[in-house]
Amino acid sequence: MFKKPASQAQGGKPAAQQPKQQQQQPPPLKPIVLSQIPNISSKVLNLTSIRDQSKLELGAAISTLKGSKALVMDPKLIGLLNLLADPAFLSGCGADKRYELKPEINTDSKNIVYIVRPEVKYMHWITGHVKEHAERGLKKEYSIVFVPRATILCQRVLEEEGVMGSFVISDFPLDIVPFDEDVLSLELASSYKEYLLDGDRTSLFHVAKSLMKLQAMFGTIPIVKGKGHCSRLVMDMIVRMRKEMGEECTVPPEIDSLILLDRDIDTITPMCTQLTYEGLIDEIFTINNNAVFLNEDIVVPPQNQQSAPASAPSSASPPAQIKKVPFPLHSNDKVYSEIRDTNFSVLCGLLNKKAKDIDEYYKMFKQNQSISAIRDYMKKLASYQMEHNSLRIHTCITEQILDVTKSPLFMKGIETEQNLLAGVNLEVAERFIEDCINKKEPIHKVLRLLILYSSTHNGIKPKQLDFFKREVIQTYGCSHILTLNNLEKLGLIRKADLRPSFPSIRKDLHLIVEDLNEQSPNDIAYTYSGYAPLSVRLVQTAIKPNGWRQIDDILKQLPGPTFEEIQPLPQGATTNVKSDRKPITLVYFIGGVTFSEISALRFLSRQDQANRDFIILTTKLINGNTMIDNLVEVFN
Amino acid sequence: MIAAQWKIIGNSTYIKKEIYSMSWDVDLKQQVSVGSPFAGPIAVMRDSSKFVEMNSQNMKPYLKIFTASGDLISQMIWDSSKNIVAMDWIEKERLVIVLQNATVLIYNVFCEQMTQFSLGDIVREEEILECKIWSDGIVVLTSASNLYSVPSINDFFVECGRVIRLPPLPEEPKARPEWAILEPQFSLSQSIEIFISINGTLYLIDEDKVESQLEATESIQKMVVSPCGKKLACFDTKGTLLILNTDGSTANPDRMDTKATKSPVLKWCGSDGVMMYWDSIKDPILFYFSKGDSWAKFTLDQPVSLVTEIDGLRIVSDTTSEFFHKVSDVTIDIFKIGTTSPASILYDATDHFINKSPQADESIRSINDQLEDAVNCCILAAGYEFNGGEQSKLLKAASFGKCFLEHYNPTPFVNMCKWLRVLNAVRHHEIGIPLSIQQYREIGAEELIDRLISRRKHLLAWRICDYLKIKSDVVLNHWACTKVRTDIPDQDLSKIIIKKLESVPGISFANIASAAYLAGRRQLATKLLEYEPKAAEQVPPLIKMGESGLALNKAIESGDTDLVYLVLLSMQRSLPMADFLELTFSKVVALDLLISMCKQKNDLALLREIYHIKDQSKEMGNIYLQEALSCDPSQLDQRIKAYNKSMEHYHHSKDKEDQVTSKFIDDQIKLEMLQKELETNLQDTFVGISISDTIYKLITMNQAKKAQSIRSEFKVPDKRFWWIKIKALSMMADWEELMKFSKEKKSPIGYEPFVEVCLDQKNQVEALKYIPKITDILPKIQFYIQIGYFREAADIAFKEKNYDLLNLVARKCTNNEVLNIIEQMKSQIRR
Repeated sequence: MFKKPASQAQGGKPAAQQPKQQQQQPPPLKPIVLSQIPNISSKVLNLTSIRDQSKLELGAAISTLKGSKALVMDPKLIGLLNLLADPAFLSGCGADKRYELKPEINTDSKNIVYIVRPEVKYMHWITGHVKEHAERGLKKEYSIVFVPRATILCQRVLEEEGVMGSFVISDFPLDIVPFDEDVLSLELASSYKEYLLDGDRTSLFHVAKSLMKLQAMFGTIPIVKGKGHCSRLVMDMIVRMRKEMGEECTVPPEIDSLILLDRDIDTITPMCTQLTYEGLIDEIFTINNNAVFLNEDIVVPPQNQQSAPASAPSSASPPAQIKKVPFPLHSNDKVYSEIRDTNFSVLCGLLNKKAKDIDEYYKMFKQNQSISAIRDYMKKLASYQMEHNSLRIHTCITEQILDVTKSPLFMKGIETEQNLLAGVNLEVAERFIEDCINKKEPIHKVLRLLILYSSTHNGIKPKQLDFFKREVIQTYGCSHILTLNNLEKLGLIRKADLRPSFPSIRKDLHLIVEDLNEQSPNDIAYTYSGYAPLSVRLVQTAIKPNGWRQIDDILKQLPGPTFEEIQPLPQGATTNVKSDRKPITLVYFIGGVTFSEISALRFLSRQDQANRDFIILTTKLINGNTMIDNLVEVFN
Repeated sequence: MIAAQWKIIGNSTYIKKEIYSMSWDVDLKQQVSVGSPFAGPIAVMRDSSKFVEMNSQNMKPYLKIFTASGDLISQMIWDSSKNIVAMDWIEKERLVIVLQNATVLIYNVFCEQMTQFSLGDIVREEEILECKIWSDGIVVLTSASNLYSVPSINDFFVECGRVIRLPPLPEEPKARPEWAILEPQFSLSQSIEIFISINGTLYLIDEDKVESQLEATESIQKMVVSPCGKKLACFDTKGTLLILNTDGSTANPDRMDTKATKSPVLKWCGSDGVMMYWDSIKDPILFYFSKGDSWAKFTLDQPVSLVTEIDGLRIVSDTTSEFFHKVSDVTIDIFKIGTTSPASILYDATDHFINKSPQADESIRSINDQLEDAVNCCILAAGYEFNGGEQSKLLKAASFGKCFLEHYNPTPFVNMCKWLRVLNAVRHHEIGIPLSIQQYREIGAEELIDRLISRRKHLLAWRICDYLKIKSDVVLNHWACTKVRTDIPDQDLSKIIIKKLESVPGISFANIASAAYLAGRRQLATKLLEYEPKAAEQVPPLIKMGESGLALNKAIESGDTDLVYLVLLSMQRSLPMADFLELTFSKVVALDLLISMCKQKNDLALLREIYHIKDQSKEMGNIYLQEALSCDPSQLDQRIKAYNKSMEHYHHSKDKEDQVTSKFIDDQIKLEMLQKELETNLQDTFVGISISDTIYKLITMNQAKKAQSIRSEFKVPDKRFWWIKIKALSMMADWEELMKFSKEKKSPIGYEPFVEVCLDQKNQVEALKYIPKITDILPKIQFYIQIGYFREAADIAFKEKNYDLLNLVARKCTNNEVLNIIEQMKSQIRR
């Protein structure tokens, strides 16, 4: 058996202690307000320009109605817009009131700007608003801003409702949103489901568009490799779109190569519990738009809580209502950027060391005598204070994660996952899944295990599958007939068939790593404590000199076509040989990518043999739960 | 010698040079003629107000359009019953004719009517008194003294019927008022404004209000705004010409007393001065005035037509076309008699050099410091010349001069050569566009290309594009659009067009196809659309032409789902249902999208229709199941009805799996019936929750018997039932019952769950009762550790003589006493 999962290796001792600042009496902590919008100017590609452009477009879209207005936002877009512009910017555009789009609206603004994804449901809601206002004799101006563009279907619905004339309609072509220095996402929540379940290729069109946009900014990408049906379709669309454009801008190519991967070719990885720090935060608290919601007392420094007694409910208000506040998670947080990608089992050590560093620094204050030394000290003070505060919060988060990971249930879950991956102790795994159903654990957890079982064992034995299905339906309700239907249609769960492909893939791609060094990892498998994510293994092979040719047989066993193409550069766009810079590979996960996979890619780029930077682009940042979320049918 | 033609007027130097000798056969005495600015064409029509000697040539009234050089572009017979009140050119060289009956006609240079619209019944009934046409609009004054404005007539058909009524006149005019239009680009209000003189007072009217501008002592007979929009020339009844500023800031206007009683034609020459023209048949006179005592008189031997340009005035007569304008400073600098300017010395030196005279060197040395200025001066002067010989002499001088300059930027020189080449090409008599360099800079190359193609000079336009390296898409496109209106057979024409256009990447075929379609050549249109690279351009015309199938294919190929939806929605409207579905079914992508659309729009009828035709029982079952589940639990009948339908469809499916599903639904129906019964008996809600939840709820309600019956009805496995029961009991804190249950028989799930549920409820005392029953050592020890019973944990480990387990306990143990005991135990085990 391979390495023990994170929590078992963990001594069980609570994580790092805070630096002992009381002795040194450094200046009091100021509240740090780290923006949810990361500063991303430093890295290899100038991604800020993408964001700036979107911000301009957003401003223009909101300003379709003049004067002050109410901005009514698609609930799915609110978080995303936070990544582009702060509230002050929106107010600057006249959007001084902001609401979440709901079936009812209550605003006294004369101008209403809706900003929505083109969904038919919303059209009906908005129509309702307009009609209701008309009935009450209220005269208002309306505008709908569609993200990324208005669809004929939505317009048709407005037409049929007879309210088309009431609106100024415009597009806000937001596609790529920078999440960090190396992570970009389209945040199309249902792209995976739409294509595979409904055969709707809309999101693939947006994927192709986003690549065209990137190529317009950073030059044509010379080498494209891809695997999967979606990837193939996207590639075809790009070729077509280049033809449509006619002349191309001659920006010298900054991105060296592109790897397109369908989520479909690796549904195993997202089903496993992520064991990196960032991955676990996502699994336990869920990260949305670069932020995790935590109890207020964790995020706000203790001093500030005391200094604001008015807000602290002293007696009257019920203590159960602890406010949740967002805490930004991205690379601008120095502490976080150092620990996010590490396996959880080594985290405590890192936090301890960090605490010691800060402690050392504070001690220096006492020793320092000369004026210049004090000046140096003060210079760094602010950044150390930032780190101090961030360390405090991350220690709290770690403690909360530990509470979960040390529970027997969690450990058994990890063990089951690893047994399934390694193809051992199947009966134990089956028993665990059964237990989970009997205990009515969250349905997502059960389904993830079933999918993992099915994908690693080329399906589930028919009798066993029938049993599980019955158990699920009887326990969670008969709406899950539909859920299971969906999963079967996608092939995520299926009856066992004869061709055993996973064992050979596992062996040939060396997915299970036994001799893993967790302290200083030597393989991407550290992200799952011994399992190397299949998707990232494919990337790892792709960038080797022989590329995918050496694993031809394996690729044939994965769904969809494999291709490798060279895009001719437009005339005048010569490859600019910047020898001082590592080549950049763009990895596009169509259908979503997990945080642990991103961590694994970051690990790869730090390895000498890779010698390249990765930029990760995806349709959505996901974990196992969010991936299957819109396949799970729930009726209230 | 150039200076010989100069005419000094006041302090300025002017020139009136012949550009063309006119190739037309027109007698301006009998005709009205209007020329389009920027060296545009001239429209000529018989002047119905003049007494005309009829001859065979002018029996029929013609509208004729000539180039500036007098070449006939096109002509048409004018229906003389149509009474013209105004005719003039607007932007893009389009001719506007306004008829007395308030109809507005717009023609291109080929006398082809582009559009026609009416100013409305009110205008017609009030009767047009006077109409003025500006570069993008019309203003009419009716006999009822109302002003109406139609802005942006070039796209009139887009905003149909935008006739704006201007504010009423401030006072009732005693005689016909004189007025002039200030175009929007010059006005403060950014829409047109009107200067109007009524009974001796000058008013300014904009779309909203009337503003009194200036008291004039006399009534004004004629008024014209200068091309720069800053000056207004007025000719009053006393024969005085006044030049006012349009912003109302004139304190002391330039004026000239002509003593003439008859009002002349007033035309601006650039914005420098005003030409007055008295067109008496016997001795027509031109009188030019710019300011102060700068005036000049020209006697003519024949009548002329005047066209104001931004930098001068075109004077067109029966035989010649002349250009009257101020001579540029650079030209004066070089050619003024007796000048010793560096540029003139350079010009002379070049002559010497060509004649191999050593004088050249000397001259160049003498202007060494100012050589660069001299070169620039020559380049600029070349631009003002119309004569090729003179242009090349000046350019040669510049080229000679720049040889002596070390760091000279050649761009201005190169550009000037290019521009002149283009200008000379279009100034050629056959093309007849005598653009000056200033006019060319004003309109730009693209606009010039536009003019050339609208005159169907495609080859020249294409060559200019090629030469100036600008995109020739427009030219080729227009060329092709023109071609489809000819009668070349489809087959040949498509070959010709495709051959020409194929080599241009990204060029659009869609509008050519539309033109072909409008010309009734549908086949050609379809063929051409094949080549359109942009699907977004390709699909809509295909839909319009009724090629639904092809449109659907193209939309799918593009990958743009919105285009597919566009085709689907239009097919749904235009085709019979059967055809629509048949076409859609032929494409998987389209069918999937149609299904997705039905789901989004909740069009269940169509969805069922589709599934029915496709014989998809499973999907059918699914939608009924969804329907059932979305029904409110209180409406049980409806739910059951939908369940039944769903079950039926699953049952009819050929897939074995679906048979199983139908059983599940059968169970569900049974369950909900039972739940309904429970609801009546127990006064609580049940319908909609799962089997496990029902059992759980019943146990928590102390209905063990009913729970048991549900269990057996649905064959709930022992293990699950035990879990549900102990969870429910622990939740109720019914510890007694839990204990009883644990003893009922040997637990099929072991005793760990008992401990777990107790601990979940934070009841250690109860938990402790079950720990000893656990058979496995490890969980046993772990539970003891979890509740802090380290001693018990250690004892078990010791009994098992398991050193590792003892260590595990030791690591977690927080009690020092026990720790010591563990140490002892460890030492005892160790051999």
